[in-house]
Amino acid sequence: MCRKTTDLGKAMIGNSYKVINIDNSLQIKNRLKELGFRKGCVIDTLNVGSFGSPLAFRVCGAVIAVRKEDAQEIEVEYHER
Amino acid sequence: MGNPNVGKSTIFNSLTGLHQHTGNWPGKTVENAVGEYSYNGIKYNVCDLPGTYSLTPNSAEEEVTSEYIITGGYNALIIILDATCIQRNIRFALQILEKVKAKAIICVNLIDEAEKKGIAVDTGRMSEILGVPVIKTAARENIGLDELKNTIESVVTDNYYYADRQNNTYSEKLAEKLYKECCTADTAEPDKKDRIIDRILISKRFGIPAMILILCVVFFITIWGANIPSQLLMVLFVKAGVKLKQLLVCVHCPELIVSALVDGVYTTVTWITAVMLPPMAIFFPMFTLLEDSGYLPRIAFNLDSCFQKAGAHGKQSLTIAMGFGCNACAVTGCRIIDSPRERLIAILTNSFTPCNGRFPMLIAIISMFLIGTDTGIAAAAAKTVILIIVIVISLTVTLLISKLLSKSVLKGIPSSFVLELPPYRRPQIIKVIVRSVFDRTLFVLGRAVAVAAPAGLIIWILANVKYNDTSVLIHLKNTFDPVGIAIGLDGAIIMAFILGLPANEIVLPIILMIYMQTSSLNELPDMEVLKSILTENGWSITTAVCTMIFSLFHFPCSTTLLTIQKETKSIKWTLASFIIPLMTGVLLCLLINIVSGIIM
Repeated sequence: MCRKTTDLGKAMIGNSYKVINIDNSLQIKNRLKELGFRKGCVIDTLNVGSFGSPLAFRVCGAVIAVRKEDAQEIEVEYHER
Repeated sequence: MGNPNVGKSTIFNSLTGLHQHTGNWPGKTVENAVGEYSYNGIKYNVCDLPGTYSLTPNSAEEEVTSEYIITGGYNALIIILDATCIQRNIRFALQILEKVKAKAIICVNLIDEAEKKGIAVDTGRMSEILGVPVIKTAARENIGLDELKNTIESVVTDNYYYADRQNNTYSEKLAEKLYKECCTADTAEPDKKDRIIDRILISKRFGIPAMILILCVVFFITIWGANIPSQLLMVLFVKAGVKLKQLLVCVHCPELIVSALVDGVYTTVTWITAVMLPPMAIFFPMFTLLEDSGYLPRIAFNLDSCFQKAGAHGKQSLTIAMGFGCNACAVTGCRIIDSPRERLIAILTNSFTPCNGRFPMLIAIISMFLIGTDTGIAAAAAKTVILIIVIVISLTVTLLISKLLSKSVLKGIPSSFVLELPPYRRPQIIKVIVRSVFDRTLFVLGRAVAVAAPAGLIIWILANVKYNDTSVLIHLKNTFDPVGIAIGLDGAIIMAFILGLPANEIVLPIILMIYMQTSSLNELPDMEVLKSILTENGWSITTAVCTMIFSLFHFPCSTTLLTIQKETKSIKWTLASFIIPLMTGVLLCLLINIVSGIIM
């Protein structure tokens, strides 16, 4: 099985991803962790804003919107649901 | 305390019987609220804290909470969790239980919503693992509140339940264990309905059109619905005014005082009531319905990109939405913005958003000069379109000034933006209507009337005190005339805006009163009559447009200024919030005046 890693900025609506790593440079890293973006956690892509940003994800049962630039700092792999 | 938007304020309200504002979006509560209730003869003080995601604060409102939690001074902590989102909420609870050694109760709220979504929570098991009492509640339905009061009593009075907390050290493993053992979900996608709605309301293609459509509908209903009650009220007040005058004359009241009371105070107060009450009584409940349904954060989602480009924060659109209601409330609401720089931008530009005090004036001018005074559906629709254009102008200027500020005095990179989109909830319609009429409409109206009464008296005195055969009012008007005319207005309008500093609602009535002077109002003051009064005093389309622009962009009302001073703790920024919109308005009006001078 090939494990393709990508970043959440490229997430497609309807796809699910598993978090691998959040870049340390991201100032909201802690906030994202509190909201459930932690290693191994599976998130679903729900919506993309009118100008390609922000992106809305389902994390731990809640819907969280993140700007594209921030999402790009989150490394994920494709996850089959 | 608990995560944002888990229903802390709703529980607080049902415990204390108070009416803290609640809404379906994270960040509604930004200040501590204190209340009390009695249970079995003991009085309890309850404190409602703003929501937070952790004890390491990221924004001003979260700081309020963590400061309170750490400094103590309470007997027990009620940690409120969202039953539909246990996986995340449980980590927060663990973090609190580890750091804070006070007695604690866990309250799993929104249990009704969770059940609908097929989520079951085993509170017994949770209590066993954590060593603290765990209670299920559904505060909106009043479920579980007696049990909560009961538990609070036993926790506060005994040392019961206080013992076994040694294994409460925070760990990933414990969190997972808790989630797996206490929480079961029926379906794979419990929030299916919400996602279908979201596919339209925040979709790439339909998100923004849907938002504009919703705004149109809200304003259309406001304009169309307010027409008839407004006119009825006016007729009623004028008739009552005549009767009042007769009555006062009957009881041998001196003519001067009769005139001061009826022509000064009574006329101003009733005009404001007639013009303001109907649109407010329609607009506020509709706004609250939107707020309760969970739509507001979706507006922030749709508009975030625009704000990002302006170097501002996406949540600024939430504060702008609040500004439609009242700028002063919105300035306090700016606390939901984490970064101080972006929060200041949001505060400084908030008064660009026309608040409820200014809507009636805008609508009145639109109907008098741009559309005609027809009350039909077509005219109301046309008025709505123009009003939406006015709002788009105010939004554009807000973005431009935000951009300007973030490029000059408030330099910095735009901070990150994380926003939780709450589930849609069916608003409690009756409750919403009752609450918004009593809490908001009457409050705002009361404030306007309190300002209008003395202002009416002042105008009457100025109009009746003569100096060199002309009234002081005319002298003053003439003094302001050169400035006013240069920017497409006139002295009377400028005076009205200055006198309207305490409340913008009274600007239009004051303009009319200055024009009419001492002549009393015995005929039916419908829009046609008002229009002819204005045109007789030199109003053209340009004057109307300039007045509208100036009402969007001038100094904030005194309540807002005081709030800004309180929030920024800086005279410099309060002054800036006074000067920036004023300069914007003066420049825009000057521009419009010059352009229209060339065209016409």
